[in-house]
Amino acid sequence: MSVDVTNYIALSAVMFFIGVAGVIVRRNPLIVLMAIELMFNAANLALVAFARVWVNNAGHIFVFLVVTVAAAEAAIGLAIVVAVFRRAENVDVDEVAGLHG
Amino acid sequence: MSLFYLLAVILIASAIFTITQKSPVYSVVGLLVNFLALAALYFTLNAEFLGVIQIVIYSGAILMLFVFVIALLSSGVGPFRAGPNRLPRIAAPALLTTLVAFGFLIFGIAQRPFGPLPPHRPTSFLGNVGDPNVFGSVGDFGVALFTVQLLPFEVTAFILMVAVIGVVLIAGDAVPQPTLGRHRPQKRAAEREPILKAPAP
Amino acid sequence: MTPHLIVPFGSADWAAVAPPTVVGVAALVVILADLMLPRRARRISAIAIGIVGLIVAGIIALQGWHHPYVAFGGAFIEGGFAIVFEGIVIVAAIFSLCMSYGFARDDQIGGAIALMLWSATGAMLMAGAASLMMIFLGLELLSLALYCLCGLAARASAREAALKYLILSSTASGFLLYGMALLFGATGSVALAALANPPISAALFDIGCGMFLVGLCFKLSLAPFHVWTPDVFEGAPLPVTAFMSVVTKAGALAAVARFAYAALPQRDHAAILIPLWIVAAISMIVGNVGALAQTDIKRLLAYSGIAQLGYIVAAMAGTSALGLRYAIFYLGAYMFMNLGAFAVVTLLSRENDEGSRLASFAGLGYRQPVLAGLMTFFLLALAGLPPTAGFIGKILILATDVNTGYAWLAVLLIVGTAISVYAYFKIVRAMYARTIGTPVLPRFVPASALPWVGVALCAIATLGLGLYPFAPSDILPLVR
Repeated sequence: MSVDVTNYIALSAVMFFIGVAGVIVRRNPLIVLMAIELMFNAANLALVAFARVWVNNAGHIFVFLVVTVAAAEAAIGLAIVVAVFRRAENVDVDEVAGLHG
Repeated sequence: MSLFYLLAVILIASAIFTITQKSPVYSVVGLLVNFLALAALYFTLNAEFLGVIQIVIYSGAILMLFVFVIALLSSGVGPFRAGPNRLPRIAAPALLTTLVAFGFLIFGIAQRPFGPLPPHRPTSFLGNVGDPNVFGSVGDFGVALFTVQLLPFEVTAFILMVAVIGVVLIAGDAVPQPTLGRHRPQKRAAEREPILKAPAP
Repeated sequence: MTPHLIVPFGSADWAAVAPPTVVGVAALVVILADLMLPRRARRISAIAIGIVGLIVAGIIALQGWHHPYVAFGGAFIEGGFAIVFEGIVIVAAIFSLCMSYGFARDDQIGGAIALMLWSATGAMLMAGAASLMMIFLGLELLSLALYCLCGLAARASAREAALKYLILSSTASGFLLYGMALLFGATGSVALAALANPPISAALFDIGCGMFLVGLCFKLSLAPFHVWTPDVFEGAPLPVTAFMSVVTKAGALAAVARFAYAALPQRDHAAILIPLWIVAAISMIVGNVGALAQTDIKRLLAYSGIAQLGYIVAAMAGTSALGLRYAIFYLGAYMFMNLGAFAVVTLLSRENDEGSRLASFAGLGYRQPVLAGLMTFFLLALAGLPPTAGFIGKILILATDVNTGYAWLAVLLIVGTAISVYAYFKIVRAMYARTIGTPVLPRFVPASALPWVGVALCAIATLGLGLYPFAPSDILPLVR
């Protein structure tokens, strides 16, 4: 174990913000959902690295629960995308113009 | 040491690949590479069980779901088309804010607050990956999950139940109206077999 | 050597989580009853089982009032604080169920009611959660069920709203999760109690707190993070909007209050929480100014909710014990006035028309004087005029803000209230103005009397809390 844990955290931070950028810039909901998965995985990497630092497996349990939640979230998100797409026939958030922020 | 940097490069490159692709199918491939590299990183952090979970659940189950949905949406209604990458008004300030926060985070981490890694704790023992009941192994993980962390584990049961019922409610009866496509659906919604058969009243 | 699996928890631990468990199990009973009962009995049975389950949960929760108990090694703490928030969630869920009779199709109603109950379960778990894991899981249970509920209505706009809600809310969950990861790294524990220990790195701790609060502020729909609220409120089915407007906020507020009052160390308390009070101040102004331009009552109530949550968070400025009591009092008052207004809209809704547009209120004072009178009363309460709970709640918040040295928040509260009077008055004027060419809408007979019960109870509570302001003592949150 010659790698400092700081490197892991920096790596997870970079990955998290790539995910955030994906959510902000992209308009295809499928890719946005994938960017959200990236954010969750970046947090998981940070949790695993911190769990190793503290030798506390609560971090591992947390990651396991996050994976479960992410699976549920992906299932629901994709179901909603399918429902919208089947009605609107275009998977593009910009084209979903019925609502104005 | 060099393994970490190799994996880090793969991780970042695949993450950027994922969010820059025009077609979601390529994004899924990028995400797959990302998750595999992440699983390898978990192994370097003594989290062997999570490494396996990452491959089996994320790469195996969740990404398959994405692939299925892409296949579902692009069949029958012509090739799947993603919208152009437009940058709406709020995107620029939001990204800027994000970058500032990113800078702060890196600054905070760069001070290297963590000293040398601690060797042993009474509850979890560090050891070689693959040894029984050391930190991060299935035994260590399982004991914690079913004893001290019992309540969070039980709550996930409700979360999975919500996902099952919710998805059936939302997508189970969606009426397909593909008018763009090359062919029309074979059967109308009313003629199709229902996903859940209601008992005869 | 095999490790022995000795579960270190006993029946007292399970008893502490009994209220959320009862609600969650009631949802399962709703689903089973939905499968077995004939089609025409489904609606009433689902709503009845849900209400009975919620009432039983409330009674069980009240048993533990004087016996705070730290369950599951600090993951969940049942005590006065948790019970008050559980009570608010339960009451809000009961009122929302009262409005749900005409909601969804026959074959969907069981699942929809079950999702609503599970969502309430998540909020109740958040009320007692004292570890980062439980806060995250409670919040996700709450949100995931709401994503599904938002997408239920047949209208295309509802599904678009659900998609928008899902994407933005999941992003906020990501921020919350990353903040939690940093807090775990700074303290080495997922328990909120560990936050008071000196962190290993101040930068890690501060950024962690910031991201944690950003995630929760989004769920509270406070001002810079409120963009999703009006669209989602407008798109979602009416009972879901009503449910969401109180329950999400009660759950997130419980987490914020426990974090601010009990978990944070005293030494850098003020510095970490200052942004929260600024966000509350922005919310008061943005919410009320945004409400001015709205012509849809659901959007109006969305903006109103942003401002009202600003008032509630402002009450906690300075984290005084009295401030927390007043915040909880105002949350209860907000629940009754807000749900009362939603129940009136439910009574106005017809097939294919939710009755939430301003046009459907035109001339209501002459068509349905009782309903118009009640709506006026709820709007006056939301604006904070005298004989109502909204008035007394605002006075108490003003007093506590001045006492704790946050007079600038008090000034902004008064400014916000002044702006809001115009917004609410627009609806009142529409109801009583005699206009030429008002479409004569057919008199509507609601499908069930349940919303009337809800309207009446909300009106009585809004008036009663205004005359006898009651905020329970003994509700300071615990983390250990």
